[in-house]
Amino acid sequence: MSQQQGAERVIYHNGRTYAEHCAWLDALDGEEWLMVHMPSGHLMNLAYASYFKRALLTVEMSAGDRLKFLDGMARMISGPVTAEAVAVIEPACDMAAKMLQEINSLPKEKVSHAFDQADLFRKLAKLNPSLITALELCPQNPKRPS
Amino acid sequence: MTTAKRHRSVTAIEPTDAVLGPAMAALTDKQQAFVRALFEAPKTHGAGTFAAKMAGYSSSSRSVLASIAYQLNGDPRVQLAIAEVSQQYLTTLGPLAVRALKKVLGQPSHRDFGRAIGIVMDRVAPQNSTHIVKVQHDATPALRATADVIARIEVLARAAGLDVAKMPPLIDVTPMKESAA
Repeated sequence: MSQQQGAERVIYHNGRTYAEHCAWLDALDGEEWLMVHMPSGHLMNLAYASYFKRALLTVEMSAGDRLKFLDGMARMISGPVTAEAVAVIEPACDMAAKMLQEINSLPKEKVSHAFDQADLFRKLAKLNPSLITALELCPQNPKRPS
Repeated sequence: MTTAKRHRSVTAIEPTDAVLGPAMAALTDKQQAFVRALFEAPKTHGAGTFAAKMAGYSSSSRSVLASIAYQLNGDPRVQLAIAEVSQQYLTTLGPLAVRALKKVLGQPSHRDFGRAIGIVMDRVAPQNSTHIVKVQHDATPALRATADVIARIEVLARAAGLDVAKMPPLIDVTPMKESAA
């Protein structure tokens, strides 16, 4: 096996070689493309927006706590995430809330890792399609292929 | 003798030099005399007729005098004057009441001796009762901030696509009923 052939077989990301990864990215379209091209931190924020909304609509809390939740959501609006995107998100359902509670029980650094490759976000989006609608309202870079 | 009592002659009440109250001053001389005579009547029954006669209202029969008395008693100005003179009489009865009280207090064996002491003591050294009324007006920065917080919550919730009305009540803020206006 030549050196070049060996380099081609090196795992580049998530079990894929560089060539495989590029092919995978090129093959993405629709929701998958949106999720993969959105930084995982923003995905986490969008998911938490649905969780916060659920809490705001179901949990009795003090005015201070309510303001903290709403301020937290207001701070999510940055970079590609627009105010319209946050506004369109529906509150999380019971199942999604349980999933996010489980994630919350992890150490802080692992919480954001759970959103890498949009694995968790994909599952949450199936339960709450408004998350995809929110993604569609975020201007993407690179541009989404038509 | 009975006849003499029934038809006793009465002398008309003369006007006095005393300063009259406003209600009495508003009456005619005869009406004033009628009011004063009401308080001089020997008995309650027939006092009006007696007073009318004493005031100088002349009539051939008692029934006419009674009718005059009825009309006078029904006059609001006369009624005001009666109330005014009644108050004056009550005031002048004060010294009499004090004298009577003194008389009772001078007899420890009197059955109302204890009550008399009580009456005097209630007025001389009335029981003190203290009412502490706490009026708290909370104008702390925290309360003022709460109004700002509520306003901010509404703005942020609207921006986040949430309806504040659908949220559960706040645990630290009592909602106020909106006025109809």
